[in-house]
Amino acid sequence: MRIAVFVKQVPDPSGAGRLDPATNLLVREGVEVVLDPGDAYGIEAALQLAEASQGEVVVISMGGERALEVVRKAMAMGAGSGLHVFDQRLGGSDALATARVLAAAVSRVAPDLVVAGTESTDGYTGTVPAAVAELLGWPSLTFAKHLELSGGTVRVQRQTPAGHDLVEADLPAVVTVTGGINEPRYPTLKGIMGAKSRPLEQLSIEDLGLDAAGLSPQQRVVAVAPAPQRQAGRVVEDDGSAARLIADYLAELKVI
Amino acid sequence: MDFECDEDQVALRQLATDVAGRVDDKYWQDIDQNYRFPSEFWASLAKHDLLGIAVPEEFGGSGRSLLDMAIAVEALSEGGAGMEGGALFVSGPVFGGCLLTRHGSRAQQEAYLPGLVSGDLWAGAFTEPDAGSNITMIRTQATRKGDSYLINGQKVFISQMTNSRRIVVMARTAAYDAGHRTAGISLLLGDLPSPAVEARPFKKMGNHFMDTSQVYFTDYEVPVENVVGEAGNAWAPMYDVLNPERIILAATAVGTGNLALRKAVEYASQRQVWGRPIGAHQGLQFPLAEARVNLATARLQVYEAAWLYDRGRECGVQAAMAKYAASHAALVAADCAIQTLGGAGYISESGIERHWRNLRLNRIAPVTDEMTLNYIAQHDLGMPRSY
Ligand SMILES: Cc1cc2nc3c(=O)[nH]c(=O)nc-3n(C[C@H](O)[C@H](O)[C@H](O)COP(=O)(O)OP(=O)(O)OC[C@H]3O[C@@H](n4cnc5c(N)ncnc54)[C@H](O)[C@@H]3O)c2cc1C
Ligand SMILES: Cc1cc2nc3c(=O)[nH]c(=O)nc-3n(C[C@H](O)[C@H](O)[C@H](O)COP(=O)(O)OP(=O)(O)OC[C@H]3O[C@@H](n4cnc5c(N)ncnc54)[C@H](O)[C@@H]3O)c2cc1C
Repeated sequence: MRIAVFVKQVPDPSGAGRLDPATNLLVREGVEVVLDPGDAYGIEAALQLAEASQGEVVVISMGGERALEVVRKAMAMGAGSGLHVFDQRLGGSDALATARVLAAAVSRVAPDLVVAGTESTDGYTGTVPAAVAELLGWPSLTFAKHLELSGGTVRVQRQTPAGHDLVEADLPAVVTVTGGINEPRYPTLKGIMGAKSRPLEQLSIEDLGLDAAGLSPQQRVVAVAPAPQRQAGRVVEDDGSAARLIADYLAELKVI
Repeated sequence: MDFECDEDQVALRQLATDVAGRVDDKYWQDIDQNYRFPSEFWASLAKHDLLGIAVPEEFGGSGRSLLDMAIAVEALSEGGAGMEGGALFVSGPVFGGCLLTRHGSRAQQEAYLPGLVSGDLWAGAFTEPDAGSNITMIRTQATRKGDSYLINGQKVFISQMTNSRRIVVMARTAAYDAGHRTAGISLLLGDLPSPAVEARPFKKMGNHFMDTSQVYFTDYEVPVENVVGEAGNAWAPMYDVLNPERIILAATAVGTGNLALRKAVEYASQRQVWGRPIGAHQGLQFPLAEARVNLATARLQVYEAAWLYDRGRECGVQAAMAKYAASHAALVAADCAIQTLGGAGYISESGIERHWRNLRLNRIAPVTDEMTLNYIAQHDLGMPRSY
């Protein structure tokens, strides 16, 4: 069983993100960058599946020079090998271009399963994994809060507002996992040291057999506006009727 | 000269910071208030391979160095684990790891090091009531009987007796000789618990994560092959424990001092009294900045001492200086942090006063300020031995 896991390097979510006024894109240079916390769940899920099936995990990331660090981190957590797509011409890629590149990387790795986060912490479109599945012609299973493999199928509990749906598909397939699906491990010291001797490839657009011309962004951020200020709440003074007032208000909002 | 950490050291520091960050200050407050051993944290250290940093790979460790251990310890302490998180390394990686890696027989290394890496706790019993700082005056006896030694005597202020599985005992295997004071002293390895070893813990000012006991040995039997190095000739091996112990506790102090400073700076930037953050007052900034200077300087001395140790070079003076500088810098840093928090600094829940209580120990143990200065005067300044 070979499992590919997508990992993205993002500006540290605990810092204040900044947009470039010229492009309206997130500033990624000169800021702290980290493994997308959402992707840590994907790595853990992939590692658990691989451990249960004596399989291997291959990390795939597309990103700038520093994205190598998140590939290394996933390898230190236990992934057997890594693939970093790094090409200056990919700077500023949109979700579709990202998906095209990742799909080509997946074809090269030829895994039985791809695990990704539900949405990234920075771009947050939540479209890349499904687009990759579409480009590969593989089933896409999203919002998995539990996943298991048996024979040639993957079965997931897909989070819904009411609970979960059971969804099953034949392999190969692409699965996105939700935060909290597991408790991601930290790399151990031996993992960190061992990761250095395992294979890590860095590939360009051409190495993947792609044409740079087909990867130019189709998406442009036209305008950016701050989120609306939150309205002041309503204060209910308790004169004995507060419980009733609050209950009525919640009923009006259809919360209860 | 190269001040750059290598890639592994950067990753190790990050790992240690992450491990410390998994535990919040409530955890340590609970440990402090209930005099409890932090078994969950200790297990986490083992799980992330941190106890075996300097243990050779063939015995389950990562085969790195004392410098790397110091880097990890500093990051654990600074990352939130304070004195507790760093000082724990004495009780295994130092007492057992440093000792056996350099001076253990092959059989001792095979028997003890893998367990140490996976979490055996170690005690080291050196100090005695009637010897104190003058350790050559110890009276605990190890008497040969067939293939064993029988240990009899009394030790004082011995840490981690309740939870330790192994103990290193310093005892006399030959009578005191005024002409050669250090001759006849041996280090012996024993297993715990044992009915022949009784420990009575004290109540104490801080460092409640470890118990500290009066210990009585009554015919405590250890096999002859458990003598570390040569019987009666333990002085050199002993310094390969005492120097790393000073270095690791100094790294702990530097990390803990910086933790206290960080808490103080955070508080000072939020707390408003005269319509602006108290941290805007130079009167608060100067002591914190000065503490920072002393911590940074102490850290360099810690790294240099560890670096020398790793190369098998003489490091006694540097270890003593590191320990002295770090103990003082950290204690003052914690004191400034308390002052910065005002009344809140005195309240346990704020998580500051504990550091001060814990750090106060470093001026006394593992060696007192005065004995440290005695050593530096003699061995670095070349002044006459005064003690
Ligand atoms: C406001 C805004 C600003 C942006 N600024 C920039 C910018 O400055 N520079 C820039 O390059 N892009 C920028 N983007 C584009 C965005 O980062 C890309 O679209 C991104 O590569 C994929 O989209 P996403 O982050 O929404 O992924 P999502 O679809 O939300 O991601 C879901 C999952 O797909 C996987 N995944 C996504 N991207 C990658 C990847 N690159 N490598 C490996 N796995 C991945 C991860 O597992 C992730 O959890 C911006 C987008 C927006 C909306
Ligand atoms: C919490 C705690 C944990 C400990 N853990 C351990 C442990 O695990 N294992 C272990 O073996 N020991 C341990 N110790 C013991 C510690 O190492 C000793 O307390 C320390 O070495 C000092 O010895 P002493 O207490 O007998 O002080 P003393 O030697 O009685 O000294 C008392 C005072 O006199 C000063 N003094 C003594 N001689 C001179 C001199 N020549 N010149 C100037 N001043 C002098 C000292 O500096 C000190 O200020 C621990 C102690 C404490 C408090």
